[in-house]
Amino acid sequence: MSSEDPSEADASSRRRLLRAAGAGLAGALLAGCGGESLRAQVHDAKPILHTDVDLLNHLLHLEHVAIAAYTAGTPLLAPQTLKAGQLFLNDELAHAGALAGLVRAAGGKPIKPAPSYDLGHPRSSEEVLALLHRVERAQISAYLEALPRLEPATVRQSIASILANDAQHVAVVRAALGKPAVASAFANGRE
Amino acid sequence: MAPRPTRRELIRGALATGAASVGAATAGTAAEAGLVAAPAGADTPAPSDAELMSRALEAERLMVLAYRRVLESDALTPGVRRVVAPFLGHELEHVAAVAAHLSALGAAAPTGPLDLRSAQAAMGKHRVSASLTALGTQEDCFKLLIDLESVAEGAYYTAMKNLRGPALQRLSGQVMACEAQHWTILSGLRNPGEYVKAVPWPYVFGTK
Repeated sequence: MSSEDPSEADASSRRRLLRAAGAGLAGALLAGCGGESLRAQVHDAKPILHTDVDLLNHLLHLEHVAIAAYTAGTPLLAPQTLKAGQLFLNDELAHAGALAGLVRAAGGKPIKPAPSYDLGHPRSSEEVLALLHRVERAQISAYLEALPRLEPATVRQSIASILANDAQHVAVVRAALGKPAVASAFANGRE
Repeated sequence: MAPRPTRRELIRGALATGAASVGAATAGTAAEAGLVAAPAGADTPAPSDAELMSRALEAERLMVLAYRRVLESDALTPGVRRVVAPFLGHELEHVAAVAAHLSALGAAAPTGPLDLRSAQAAMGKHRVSASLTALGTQEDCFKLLIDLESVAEGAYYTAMKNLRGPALQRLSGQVMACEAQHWTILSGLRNPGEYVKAVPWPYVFGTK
């Protein structure tokens, strides 16, 4: 590890800040991340279409499922992957916060988490990883489906950014399962 | 009949026109960089799908050159080489896919890897300080590939703001996701066990 690499050292300190601030501040924190903040994007010239509320809420529902899966499953993960589970749970919380913000900006009401989700009964670290793999793939598939249907383009940018992060999760989970980490040149949710 | 403008009025008018042009160009550049919304009425056309995907194609051809140089070096351990080698195949698929779309748009679509001089110019444009020629250690290889994967991510993230074609929007999402996976695995190999360095953010932007 090159400790003097400024991009990685900077990323680590930003990551700590993000975890401390909580998912609810995801939109504001994006302002310091090299991309246009979600809040700035929302206040861009073109409004988010009200017709996109259902689509955005569907994506938010999938984030709630992922949050439930990581919350329930992470304690069962082996020590070498436990930290990844905790980090990825934080990511999904941030995604949910961002999507909720987009739903509100579109004039809608963000869907709330369900009281419970059918996640099966994983009992081992490997079974939890398999569950997380399924959940993340479902998200990737849904985000790709949604991408060309959303307006304005800045919302598509945000969705692409979240999609790519979920793809990163898939790569780590696949590696932990002993599979080739990057299954395809084109992420599709079937990897 | 209107009086002819004085010399002072002509100079003042030329200065005002020049200042407006600079202002419009600056605003357009900043808007394109995604830093601010373009001011209403700014006469800055958004880049075309062909322009955006040409930039992505240049990034992909740069990636192909970089992966080839890394894999030709003796710097990688066998285990790392086994993981990284398939990524070259992915980048070649990206080149082919983007080039096919560019050809369909009637744009130039070169598919060979960039020559060294063009590659170094492209890297300079993206402020990538890693070397394509001094790959003596595994760390040199990681730094080069990780920095360039960030450039590739950024090309698609930036393009997404202005791409009009749904097929290109979807393709860009798929490829950006793959480049993010490459970035994560390379960072994970570089920093074993440090997941926060492999996936440092809930969002992927790449570099501009």
